[in-house]
Parts: sequence; structure tokens; C-alpha cells
Amino acid sequence: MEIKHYKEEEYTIIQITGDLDASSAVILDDAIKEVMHKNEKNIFIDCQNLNYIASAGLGVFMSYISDITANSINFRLFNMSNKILDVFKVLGLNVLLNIDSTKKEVISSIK
Amino acid sequence: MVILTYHHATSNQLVIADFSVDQLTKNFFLSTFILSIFLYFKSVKSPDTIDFIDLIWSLFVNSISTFIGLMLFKSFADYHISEELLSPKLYQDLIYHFIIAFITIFAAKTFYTFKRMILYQKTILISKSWMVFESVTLCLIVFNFFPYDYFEPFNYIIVASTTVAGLVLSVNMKWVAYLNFNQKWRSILLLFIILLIAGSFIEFIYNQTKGELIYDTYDHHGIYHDLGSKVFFISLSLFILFYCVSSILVLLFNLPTSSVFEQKIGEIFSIQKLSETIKLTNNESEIYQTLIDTSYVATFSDAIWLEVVDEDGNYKDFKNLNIDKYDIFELKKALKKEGHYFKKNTVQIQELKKLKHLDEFKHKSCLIIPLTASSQYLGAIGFLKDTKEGFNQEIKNIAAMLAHQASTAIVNSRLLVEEIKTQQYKKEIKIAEEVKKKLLPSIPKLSEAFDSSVKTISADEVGGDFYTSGQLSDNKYYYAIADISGHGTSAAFNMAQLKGAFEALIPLGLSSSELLGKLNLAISACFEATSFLSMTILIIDTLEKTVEINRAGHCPTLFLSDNTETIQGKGLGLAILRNKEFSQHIQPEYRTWKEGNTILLFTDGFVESTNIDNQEFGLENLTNVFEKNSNLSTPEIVKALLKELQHFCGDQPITDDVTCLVIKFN
Repeated sequence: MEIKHYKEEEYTIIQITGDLDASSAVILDDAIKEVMHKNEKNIFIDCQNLNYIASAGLGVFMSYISDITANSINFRLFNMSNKILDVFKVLGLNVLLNIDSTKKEVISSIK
Repeated sequence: MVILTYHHATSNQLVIADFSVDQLTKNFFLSTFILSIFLYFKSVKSPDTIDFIDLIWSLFVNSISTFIGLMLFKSFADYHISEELLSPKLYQDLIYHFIIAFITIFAAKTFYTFKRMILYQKTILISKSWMVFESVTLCLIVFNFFPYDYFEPFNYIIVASTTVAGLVLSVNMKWVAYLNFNQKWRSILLLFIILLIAGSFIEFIYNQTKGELIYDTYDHHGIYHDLGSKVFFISLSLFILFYCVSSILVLLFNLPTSSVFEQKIGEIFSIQKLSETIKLTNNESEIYQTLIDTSYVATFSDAIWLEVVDEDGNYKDFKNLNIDKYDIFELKKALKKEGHYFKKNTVQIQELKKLKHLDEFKHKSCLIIPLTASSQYLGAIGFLKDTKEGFNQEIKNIAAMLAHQASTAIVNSRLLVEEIKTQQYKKEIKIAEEVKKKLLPSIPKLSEAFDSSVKTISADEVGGDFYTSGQLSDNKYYYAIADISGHGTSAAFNMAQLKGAFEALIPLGLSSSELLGKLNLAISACFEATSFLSMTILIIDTLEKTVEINRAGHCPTLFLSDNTETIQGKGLGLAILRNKEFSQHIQPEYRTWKEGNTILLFTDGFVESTNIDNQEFGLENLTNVFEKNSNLSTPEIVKALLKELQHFCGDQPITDDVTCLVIKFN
């Protein structure tokens, strides 16, 4: 798995490529933690190349839900394949996390 | 009496060979005696390991005792006893026989002692040559019956050839090398005395032969008095003298080099000792002690220290000999300041005086070798000498070898400790497996209204899938299936916590939503931030013939009546939203059931298991297999489902826990 994060204007994009399993979840966790630490208010996760997500990967997103709410961070996932979206839906995470279909949608959410 | 006379070829002297019966009998007895003494010493069994000092010492004791015996009896010869008691001839004969016996014992003992020395580390050639030499020498006893020059010039050839053979065999002195300096000195001394005694015996015999008898009152012929002229005796004495003299010479010449040999032997023993310690112990500290002792001796150092660091580079052990820690600290500080780093390469300082940052140091030169294993620094061993330029290439080689041995030992002992830990861990896992079996027992028959069967397979020894069942009230029964995030040990621990919380909440008689709400809070308090679980609770009412399905983020429930319904209402997993808001995100579903209806609960491992082409088994496939086998009994349905999954995955190992639970209404 590969993780890239870059800042574009007033938002930060974290791009995940490959399988998000127990071993790679740690890397994602570090990346999100780093961005959060910089007090970024708009964090967007690009899931276009996310191929597979294990429970450990879901656990990472889940563990930031309270921080996102508490710090009113605009945390959004987008470009998710249907298969991955189903996983989020089964667990009910789609209710707690903002999942958008395109980057355009995501960017329009910036206040 | 038959007296043969023959003409001596060279001297024109008339020699008498006495072949009278009387003389032949005497000769026969004496020869038999000599032969039996020799055969006796030949047959004496000796231990396989030879201590040469012991061997020479026992020869020395034998020589001294026979010599004292000889001197004693010789002095008796002059003693005149009353003729009435014993005729002087008989008395003198008796004395003389004893003396011959002593000399024979000495000769036999010496002969066979030398044999053992010659045959030490023998080759086939030496072994065979000796056999021939020994047999020929013993056969020469036959010649006792004839005067020396009877077979002239054949006798010269015999004596010359046995002498040459004895000389050639005397070259075999391998035993000398195994004596240390002290032992060599002692051997020289002992062999010298043995040589003197042998000389005095030979002199005695030859005097006898020349006619300088200890007594001269009787005129005798035959071997009593001319033993010295027999080829057997000549060959034997020459061999003994040769071997004695050559041993002494070889020992003398080897004296200066013995310290080198001792040193080599010492090194071998030290290394052997070290290897044995390594084999016998997994106690690192013991290895360090042996290492430092061994290195101290093997390198002739005046002081030595050993430092060992653990895997993280922290000091683990420190051993020092003849130098205190403060001095080592000062030396290391000085070395560091002058750019001598010993963590990767050997550091050798020929003259410590030249180190600018080191004042007043007791030792004059040092050698520090790092202990490494696959480029990991394990520690270092430092050698110090009181002389400058104290470490030559040879000592450096030995030191390097010891360091290498030590590194191996340290790594081995660490591996051993790790292996023991792994074994313990495996044992723990076995226990965990047993615990898991107790946590997930097969579900009992709860009611006549329905049957159920369950099967779970873990990706690791323990897993995070959970199921349970039981009775809530007279006509209400519950089933629950859950999947804890992750798998393996951490998931298994979380599963155990879930079971505890679940069993505690069940008797409260809560609704499925209340139960899930309370479980969410309980589990949220126990699970770490990134752990969560999904769960489905079924409550079957046998009176109303209804089933309540409450899904908390778990895979959908398959309900097969006329067709298969995939029940997946809204539902959030547990421990995701760790507060009371959770209850807003779940919603129970209700269905009525009739005879033959079947419910399938499963965990995501079932549908997400992949085959070699990385295709998932999938919900559709599962639904089809479930429908196809729905007419079977519950255990058979479970079996059919798992068989199909196995068939699909082939050799691909399962990576997540798989559970399926089937309920069939009667």
C-alpha cells in the first residue's frame, strides 16, 4: 500500500493506493495523525485506488470520528469503489463519515 | 656327553659347543624363563590413554628395583656359607640365577615400555615393522643354544639387521611432543638413570662373558656365563641403549620449543572449553566469564575486559580482569578522542604512552576487537599488555578467533532464549485455543420449534468470531453472532470481553436494541480506539412465530422462506460511536416464520474469502449454495456451505475467521 498526502490550497488530500490491511493501517494512522496535528480543517481522503479495506483500516477511520466532531474538521472520503462503499455501509460508517462520490463534491463542501 | 668342536674360521681358536643333555636342559629352562617373562610383559594390558610420565616413572621404578635386587644378590655372592648347609657351587648358582632373573625382568619391561612409546600414534607401517622386529628378536632366543660364532658370519648379519631395525624404530618419538617443559626435564632425568642401570646390567653380563665372573670357582659352559655373546641379548641391549639415548637427545633438543607447543595445546584446550561452555549453557554471563578466562590465558595478556551490549545497544554485561573499570573508562575516552573507534574495526595501539589524552597508564599496549554478528555490534573484548608492541600477528589471530567464537556464542545463547520464549508462546497459544473452545461451545438444542448448527474456522490459532445462544423466557430464544475487528490473539481477547459483557446483560431481559446499546457502552470502555465489532442478534418467539433481527454493522441475515431475503436494515457496529447516540443508528426488523424456513447468519470472512484469482466468494454465491442445500438438516447445511467455500478457495489459505450459523424452523 502507498500513501501520499499533499496540500492543495486550503485542503489536504490523503491518497491511498492498494490494500489497507492490518500492516498498512498503521501508516494511514500516522498520516492522518500528522495532518490532524497541523490543525488542518479540511482533510479529504482519496479512495480511488483503494483496492481493499480490512477491519483494521476501518478502525483507523473510526477512531478519528470523535476528533473530527470535536474539532469540527471537514473530513471527507471520496472516489470510493462500490465494493469499498459496501463495506462502509454494512458497518454503518457511512452514517458517521462523510462519503462523497467525486472530488468536485468534496471541494464544494469547503465553507 | 657330546662335545662338538669346530674350528673358528678367523682365529684358528678351538671353540667348544656343549650340546650335552645336561647343558641342553639348562639352556632350555633358561630360554623358556626368558621367553615367558617377555610374554608376560607383552600380555600386560595397559589403558588406552597413555600418560608418558607415568609410563617412564613405572619403568624407572622397575629399573631401580631390579638394580637394587642385582646389587643385593651380587653382595651375597661373596658371603661364604657353611658347606654343610649348601655347596658353594649351588649357592653361587642360585645367586646367579636370581641376577639373571632381575636382568630379564628389566629387559622385558623396558622392551615393552619402549614398544608403547614407539607405537604411539602409529601408522600401519610402523605397527608392522615393530611386529616383525619383536618377533625376530624373540626368535633369536633359539640362538642361545649355540655359541655366538657358531653361525658365523650369519650372526653378524642378524645383529646388524636387528640393530638397524631397532635404530629405525627408535626414530618414532611422537610422544615427546606431548610433554610440557617440566615433564620433559623429568623424563630426561628418569631416562638417564634408566640408561645408567641398563648400562650396568649390560656391563655385568659382558663381564660374565669375558670371564670376569663374580665367582670363578666353577668352570661353566653354555649360556649361563656367555649370555653376553648371544645374538638375542646383543640385539636387545643395543635396542634399549639406542632408544634410551635417542629419547634423551630428542627430549633435550625439544626443550626449547616446548613452550610453543604448550601454548598451542593451551589454546586448543581453551577453545575446546569455550565451545563446551557454549554448548552446555544458555547463561550468557557464564559464557562471558569463560571467554574472558580463556582469552586471558590464550593470548598471554596482562589484563583483559569484555563488554556486551543488548539488542538495543545498552550495556548488558561487563567483565574485567587485572584492570579496574575506571582505567578502562579512561582508556576508552582517550581512544574516542583520538578517533579510534572499535565498534566496527579492531583497534590496536602499540604504545599507549603515545595517546595524548591518556596519562599514567599501567599497561603499555592494547588490542580491542569488536564482537559482531551479521554486522550487528554485540560488544567488544579488550586485551592489554605490560610491554609495548605486545600483540604480534599470531596473538591477534588467536584473539580474533576467540572474538568470533564469542560472537557466535552470544548469538546462539540469545537465539536459544528466544526459542524457549517461542516455545512458551506456542504453549500459551495452545491454552488460548482451549479457552476459545470453552468460549465457543457447540450450541445446544433449545426448542422443538427449531434446530440450529454452527461452525467457526479461525485464520490463526485463535480468532475474533463469536456466537452464542440461549433462552430468554418461556417462548423466547436468542441467537447472536459477532465479528471482532482484526483476527488472532488481540481479537480473541476482545471476543472474551464481549462474551463476558453479553452474558452479564442477557439476564436483564432487555430488548434487542437496549441490549445492543448497553453492549456498545460496555465494549467501548474495554476496546482500544481502533477496535470495534459487528453483531447481529436474533430473538425467536415460538408462540408468536416471529423473529426479531437486530443488525449492528454485521453482515446481512439471509432469511429463506419462499425465496431468500437479504435482511440489511440500518445498523452501526459496536464501539464505533462510543456514546448513547449509538442507539439512534440501529433498528430491529421483524419477520414471521413458518415450518421449513431457514435463517443463515455468517461473518464477513465467509463472503470475503478469496480464491487463487483473488475473487471473493461473495454474497450471491453464498445465497445460491444456501438455497440449494436448504432442504437438508442444519448440520448438513453448515457442512455443505463450508465444503463449497473450501472448494472455491482451493489451496488458498483463509485469512479471516469464518463462521456460519444456520437455524431451521420445524
